[in-house]
Amino acid sequence: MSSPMPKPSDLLQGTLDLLILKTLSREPLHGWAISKRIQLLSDEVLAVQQGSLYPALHRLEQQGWITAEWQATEQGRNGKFYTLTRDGKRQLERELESWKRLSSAVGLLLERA
Amino acid sequence: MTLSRLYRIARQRLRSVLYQHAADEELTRELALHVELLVEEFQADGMSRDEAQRAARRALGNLPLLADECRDHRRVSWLLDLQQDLVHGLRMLRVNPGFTAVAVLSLAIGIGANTAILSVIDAVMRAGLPIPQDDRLVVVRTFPLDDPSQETHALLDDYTTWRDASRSFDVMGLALGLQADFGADGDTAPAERIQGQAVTGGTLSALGVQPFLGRVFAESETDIGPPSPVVVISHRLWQRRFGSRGDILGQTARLDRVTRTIVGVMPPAFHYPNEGVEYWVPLAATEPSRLPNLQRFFVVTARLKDDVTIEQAQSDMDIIAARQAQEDPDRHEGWGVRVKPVREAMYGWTRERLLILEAAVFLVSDRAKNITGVLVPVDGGYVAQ
Repeated sequence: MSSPMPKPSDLLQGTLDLLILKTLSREPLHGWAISKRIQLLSDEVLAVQQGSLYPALHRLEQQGWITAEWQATEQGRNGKFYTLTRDGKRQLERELESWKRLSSAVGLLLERA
Repeated sequence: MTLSRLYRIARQRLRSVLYQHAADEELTRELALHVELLVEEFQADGMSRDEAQRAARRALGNLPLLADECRDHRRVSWLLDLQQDLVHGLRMLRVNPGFTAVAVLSLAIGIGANTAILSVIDAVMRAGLPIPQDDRLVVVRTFPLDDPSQETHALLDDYTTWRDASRSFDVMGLALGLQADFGADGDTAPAERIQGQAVTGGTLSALGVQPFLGRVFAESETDIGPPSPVVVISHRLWQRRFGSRGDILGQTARLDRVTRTIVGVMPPAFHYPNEGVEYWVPLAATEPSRLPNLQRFFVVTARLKDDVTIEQAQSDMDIIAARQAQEDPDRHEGWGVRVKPVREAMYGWTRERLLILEAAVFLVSDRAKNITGVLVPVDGGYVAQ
C-alpha cells in the first residue's frame, strides 16, 4: 500500500482574505470557482476550507473590497460572481505588502534562531 | 476611506436591513450552487449521486450554520457599533438634550444628503460614456413652445428633415429602444428577455465607438435600402451566451423569432444609453410603415462639426423648426427644437454642477462633524465627574 497523501495544509488564519482578493484580481469568479482556482494555482497544496470561504466573501463584500453580481456560469447556471473593487485593489496591495514583510521576517527568524 | 467605498458599504448595509429576505434567499442560492457543483465534481470522480451528495455536505459542513455565519458578517459587526454609539449618544442626551438633538439632526442631514448625491455622481461619473469627445455628441429633442420644460424626443419625419437640412452636424442618427426574446441557436440555455436598440448607421457613427469585433452598420443598411437581418451584440452578451467564442461573427441569434446574423461585438465598456442594452439592430428609417406607430419617441443623436458650437447648432435648428411649422403646421406648429450635450440630456446634470453640489454637501457634513467634536469633551467631562 502506498503511504497516505499528506493532508493539504490548513490555511493560515488571515491569509484567506489575501488569497481571495488576489484570485479575484484576474477576473470575477463565483465561490466554487474561487476555491478551485486557489487549489489549482497552489498545485493542490492549499485547500480552502470550503465552509470558511463564504463567511470571508460576505465579510469582504461588507467591507467594500469586493462587489457581487448574479451572472450565468459557464454551465449556464446562475452564480454569484464577485469582482474586486478599485478600493479592493488597493487593499490587496496593502495586504500583499504586509504579507511580504511578515514572510521575510519569519524567514529571517528561522534562519537565525 | 474613499467615497466610492463609503457609498458601497452604505448600500450593502441598507440592503442587508431593508431587503433581508432577498439577501437570505441569495445566500441560500449561492450555497446551493456550490453544493451542486461539488456533487457534479464528485460524480465525475466516479461516486454515485448519493455518495457525492454526502461527500459535498461533508466538505461544506453544516449549511444552516454556515449561512448564519455569513449573515453574522452582514449584520453583527455594525449592529454592535451602532449599539455602542447609541449608548454613548444616550449618555450625551442626558447631559444636554438640546445640543445633542442639533448634532444628531445635522449629522443625519449630512449623511443623507451625501449618500443621495454620491449615488447620482456614481451614475454620471462612472457611466463614463466611453465615447470619444463626448462633448461634441448632442441629442436633438422637441418641446412644446407653451411648456418648454416638457422636452420629448422626435417624430420620424423630424429626423429625415433635420438630417437633410441641418448644416451643423457631421453625422446624425436615429434610435429606438426595444426589447426582444433572445435565444441563441443551438444554445440549450433558456430564452431571455433582453433590452436593445434599433439604430440607424448614423447613431453608431455619431457615437464614434469602434466595435470590439466585426463591424457596426453602414448608413446604407438603414437610411437607403431595406435593413438587413443583422445584429451587433454587447460584450456582456457575447461572454454570457456565447462563452466569448472567437468565431462569433457570422453566427446567428434569434431575436423575437427572427434569425439574425451577428456582425459585430461592442467593446466591454460600451454601455449606451445604459448598462442594460445588449443588442443593436438596424432601424428601417426608409420604411416608416414597418416601424411601430410611435409619436415623439425617436431619439436623435448627432455629432457637431469641429468648428460649430452648441449655440450655432441651436440657431441652425431654430430656423429649421420654424420652417417645419410653416410647411406642416398640423404636425409641427407649436413645437420647438433643442440641442443638448449628451451628458446633460441623459442625466440632466453636468459634471460641473454635480461637483459644486457635492462640495456644498461636504461643507454641511463638515459642520456636523465639528458639532459632534464639541460634544465629546462635554461627555468626557461628565464621565470624569
